[in-house]
Amino acid sequence: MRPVGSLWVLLFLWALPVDGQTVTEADEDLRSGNYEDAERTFRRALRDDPSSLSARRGLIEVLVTTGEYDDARSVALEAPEPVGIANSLGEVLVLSGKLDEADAAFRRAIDGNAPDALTAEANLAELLFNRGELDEAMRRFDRFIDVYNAADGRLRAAELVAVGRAMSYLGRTTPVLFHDALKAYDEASGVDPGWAEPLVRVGALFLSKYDSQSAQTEFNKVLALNPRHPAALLGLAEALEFDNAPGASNVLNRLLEVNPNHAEARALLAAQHLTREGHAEARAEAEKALGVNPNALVALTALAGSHMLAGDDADFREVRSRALTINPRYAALDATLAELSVRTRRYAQAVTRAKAAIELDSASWEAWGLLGLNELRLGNIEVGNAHLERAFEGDPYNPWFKNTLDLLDTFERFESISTEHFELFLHGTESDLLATYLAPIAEEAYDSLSRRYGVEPPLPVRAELFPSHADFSVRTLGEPGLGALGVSFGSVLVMDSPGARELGDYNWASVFWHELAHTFHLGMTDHRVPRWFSEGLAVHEQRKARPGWGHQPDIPFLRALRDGDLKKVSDLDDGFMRPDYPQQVIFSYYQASLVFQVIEERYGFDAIRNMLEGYRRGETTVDLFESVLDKPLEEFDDEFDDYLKTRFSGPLRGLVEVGDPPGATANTSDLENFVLGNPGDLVGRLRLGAALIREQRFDDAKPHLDAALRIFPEYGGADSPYWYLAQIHRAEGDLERAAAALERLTDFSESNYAAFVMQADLLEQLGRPEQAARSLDKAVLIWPYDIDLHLRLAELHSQVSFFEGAVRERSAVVALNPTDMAEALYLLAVAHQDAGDRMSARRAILQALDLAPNYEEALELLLEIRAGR
Amino acid sequence: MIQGRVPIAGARVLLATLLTGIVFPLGLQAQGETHAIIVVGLGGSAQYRERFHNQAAALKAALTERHGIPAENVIYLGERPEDAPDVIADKSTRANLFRVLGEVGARAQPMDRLLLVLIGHGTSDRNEAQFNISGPDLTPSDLQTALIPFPTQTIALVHTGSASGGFLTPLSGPNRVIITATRTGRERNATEFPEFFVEAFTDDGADLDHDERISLLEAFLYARQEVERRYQEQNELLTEHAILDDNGDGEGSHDAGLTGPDGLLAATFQLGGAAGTSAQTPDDPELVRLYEERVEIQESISQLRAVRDALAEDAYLAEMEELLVELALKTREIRALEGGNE
Repeated sequence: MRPVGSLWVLLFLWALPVDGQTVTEADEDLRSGNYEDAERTFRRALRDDPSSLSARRGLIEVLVTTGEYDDARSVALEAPEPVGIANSLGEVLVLSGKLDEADAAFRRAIDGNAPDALTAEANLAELLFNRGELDEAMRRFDRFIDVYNAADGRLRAAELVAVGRAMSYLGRTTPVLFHDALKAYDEASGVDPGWAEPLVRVGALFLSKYDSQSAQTEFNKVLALNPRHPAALLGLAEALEFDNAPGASNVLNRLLEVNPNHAEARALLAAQHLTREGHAEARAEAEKALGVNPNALVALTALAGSHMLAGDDADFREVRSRALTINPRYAALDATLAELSVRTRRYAQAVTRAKAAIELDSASWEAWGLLGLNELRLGNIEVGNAHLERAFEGDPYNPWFKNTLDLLDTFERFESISTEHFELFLHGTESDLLATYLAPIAEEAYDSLSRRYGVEPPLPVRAELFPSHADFSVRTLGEPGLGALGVSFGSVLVMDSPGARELGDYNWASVFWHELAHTFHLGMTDHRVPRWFSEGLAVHEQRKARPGWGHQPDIPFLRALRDGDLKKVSDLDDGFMRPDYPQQVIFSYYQASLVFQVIEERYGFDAIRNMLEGYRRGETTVDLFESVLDKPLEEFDDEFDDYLKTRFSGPLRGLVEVGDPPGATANTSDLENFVLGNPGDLVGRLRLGAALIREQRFDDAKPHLDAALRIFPEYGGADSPYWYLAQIHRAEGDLERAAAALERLTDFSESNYAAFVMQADLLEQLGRPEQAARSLDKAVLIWPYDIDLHLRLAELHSQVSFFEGAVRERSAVVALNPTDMAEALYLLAVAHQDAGDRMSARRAILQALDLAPNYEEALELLLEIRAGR
Repeated sequence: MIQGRVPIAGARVLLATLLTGIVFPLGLQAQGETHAIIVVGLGGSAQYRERFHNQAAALKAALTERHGIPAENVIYLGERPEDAPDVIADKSTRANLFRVLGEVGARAQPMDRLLLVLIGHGTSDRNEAQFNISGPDLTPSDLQTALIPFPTQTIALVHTGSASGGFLTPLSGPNRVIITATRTGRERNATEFPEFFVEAFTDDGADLDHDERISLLEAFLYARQEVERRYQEQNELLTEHAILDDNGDGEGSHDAGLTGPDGLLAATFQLGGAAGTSAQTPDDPELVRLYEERVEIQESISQLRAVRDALAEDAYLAEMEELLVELALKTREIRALEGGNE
């Protein structure tokens, strides 16, 4: 028998080291994302030794990673020793939504002093938190401080992660503890450098504190070692969404390939759909997640969001109620929906949801911040300020809160000026000047739009103009860096003042008109109008207001049209929200405006009004094209594409690629040779014309410029042939033709200041002071800060006896703080007197004499004014 | 940071403050003469040489032709006298400046005034600021010594060049107006200040209170404001900040005015009209009477301004209007009589 016994010993000795190696290999496979091999190895190890805790835990972890929650649960329940696997079982049960059982499992691990009892403690506390038992949860988290301090550096990596998690939760009332969370995670990484969990936790912590770049760095470290790590993929997708950067969908799809039952991934996909009117798609994703875990709060949040945005109030309340049954303090649902409301421009709804979140959990700083920011967007400045202060106290890491509060501190330097329909909020240094021009433009725009749309928005409309672009950006986004010129929140519109920009950057009056149009659209649709619709319609309104206002066609747009790089009408929202390339946003503005040009021409403006009303009722764009235009959207796509190609057929022919044209810096002879061979090439003609102008070869330049205009007569860019022709004609002394060329140019350009000024020069020389004044009036709407221009305009107005205009211009001169203020006031008094306004004349002349009592002309005028009483 | 494109804040208040101050009567008291010395330093290049000379020549012409300073009282020391011998008296060296100051000091009366304008480049090192001229550069301590012959006279030093700020503190003192184009010696770029300082005297734009005279305060404010406007229009960083000290505390004010701490003395240093020259008392006793009556009205206006804050705005304006009407009618009478006497 002795040999058999020896054989068994040998077999036993042989089996023991193999088991340890096998689990180690499986662990490595797990950590590197080779889940299939890891699963096989863990299963084999478990078959060989059902009591192996490490093998069972490893297998459970693989199955959880790949979304096999039922299988994982079975494996856990088969454990011969329940205490050792209780925590793992609890984690699986949470993912399946079996929360009571999970609670029991965690407690078993804790009470049984399982090796992972500390992790079970953290899990239990988190579960209690997520079920609304905040006080109990925070008490449990608080104990981790003593655990850490007592351990004196002897905690294992998993235990350090548990400490870090606890500190993260405690940070919500004691923000400094977030630093301790980071410290604990870093220590965990130090103890186990190959373990991804601490890195993922650090990434999540950075993201929660708004540092998406650092977060992405951490997630990418994990993905470099394991490209299939679900938590890292989720974190990366969330970080990309946070930055509004492309790619989040692709990352989520990769995650779902690994784990198709990942509830957070589905919820994030659902949220993306919601921002694109994809309510049905959003619901589908949410339901998939709920099918796996009916208690997945993030999925219920997404589902509630889909009902909210669709206006299904009863369904929304039902889903919300389900969530609150699971966690009666679940403020995150309403806070998330408040944020979603902001993304879909429903600011009043955001306020409602934020208030609801705060009622559930008064320490929801995100909700306080959303409340404050959106009260500001609704024009409730004091209330918004107070709420933001509260939010910032609770979350001092939040840069939006801080930036906005800093901005609000500067509001004392602004002045409010009321008109019939507006409250103009202007910086004190330029309020007198801007109000002079803005007030009449604002009222004109209001009158025009209210007649056109047949409605009035809530009044007053508050218009804030910021002389600092960074301040405008903070007011809008909470941070600098916004590329826009203006934004409308509804009855509050915010924009750069002309002083925030370089001369010639934009036409502020045109931008104001655009933003006010949004106010009407948002009001008419209860903020349901899609972005593309309102942007396109607002540009269309600009063009209707004044010739040359609004976006115009240019060569880059035509190239995009030629190359098929424009969005279809049915996808135009993506052109604004998820552009394929940065310039597509600008092209989308112009393209969308043409949609409304077509609709108004073919169907009448009533069709547009009816569509706006339809949005208010909750209908979608697809619905409305069918019901109002009696045309499926897909069909309209094709028709509109035909329209564009027909309308721009001439310039498109001029942009047919004919090999390598000479570059922008090519010499003239190269350009001449090219044009000789390609006479229909638009860019070649333009460049050659410009080159010949630079060489003062005007007669040679003219035919090329004329040819370019025949190809593209609507071109009003900085290098427009109209501009060059104007200069040629002027140099030749043909002032009429020069003025006519500038007239055409300004039909296609709203911000060419030099063109308007030159036009005024020419018209004055031609003895047409009234027309010259009109040109300068338009120049002021681009750049109102040139004293000399106002002086000139005042003279012109006086010359044609338009005294109201003279008064306006003299007032502008005074507002611009000229060096000789006494003289400026004196001339203002003269203008008032010419206009028959003796009271204002008296006031102005007294102001002048108050500065300069010995000013003889002013003294004489005073006597004249008094004599006229 | 680049300055914003909004009107310069505060200047409106400053100008109002300046001009709601003291009203000076026209030409009845005996006032001393004004002696002006313009010193042009090394240009370093043809462009700057020409620019500095043109500014100096224009200033000289304005002082004599527009502001009534006798030609023999305006001396221009330049880099190259041979280029314009009828305008430039001598070469701008330290020795020549000392000599000229000595000569002027010897003949100046106790109530006379000295205006010393430096146009050119300045530099500054750890030891002392310098104004670059042929030979040894001019330093504040040089000028301190050279100004000894002017114990009682009001002295105005205007250094319009780069790094001029270092001249202010050492030369500050009682009865002195010091104007520098830069706040400190570290502002080393060539300055725009001299162009506009000269323009204050050659053109009409600086007579901010329209009393037909230019004070040094008006010239300073005009030049300072126009410099700022120039940089704004060119979208450039403001690299020069002019300051004025006239209360002898060694600290210059960018926002000088009549509310202090600096500006009062500079406001009284006026050129033009009768104040720029020796007293001109009319021969016609009727005119004398009218002038006296006008002075009384002007004094009433000053007194009303002094209590402005104690009055409601409407009440103030109503009273002011009545005084202004009186002043207007009196001025009419004076002009009518002056016209008849020509």
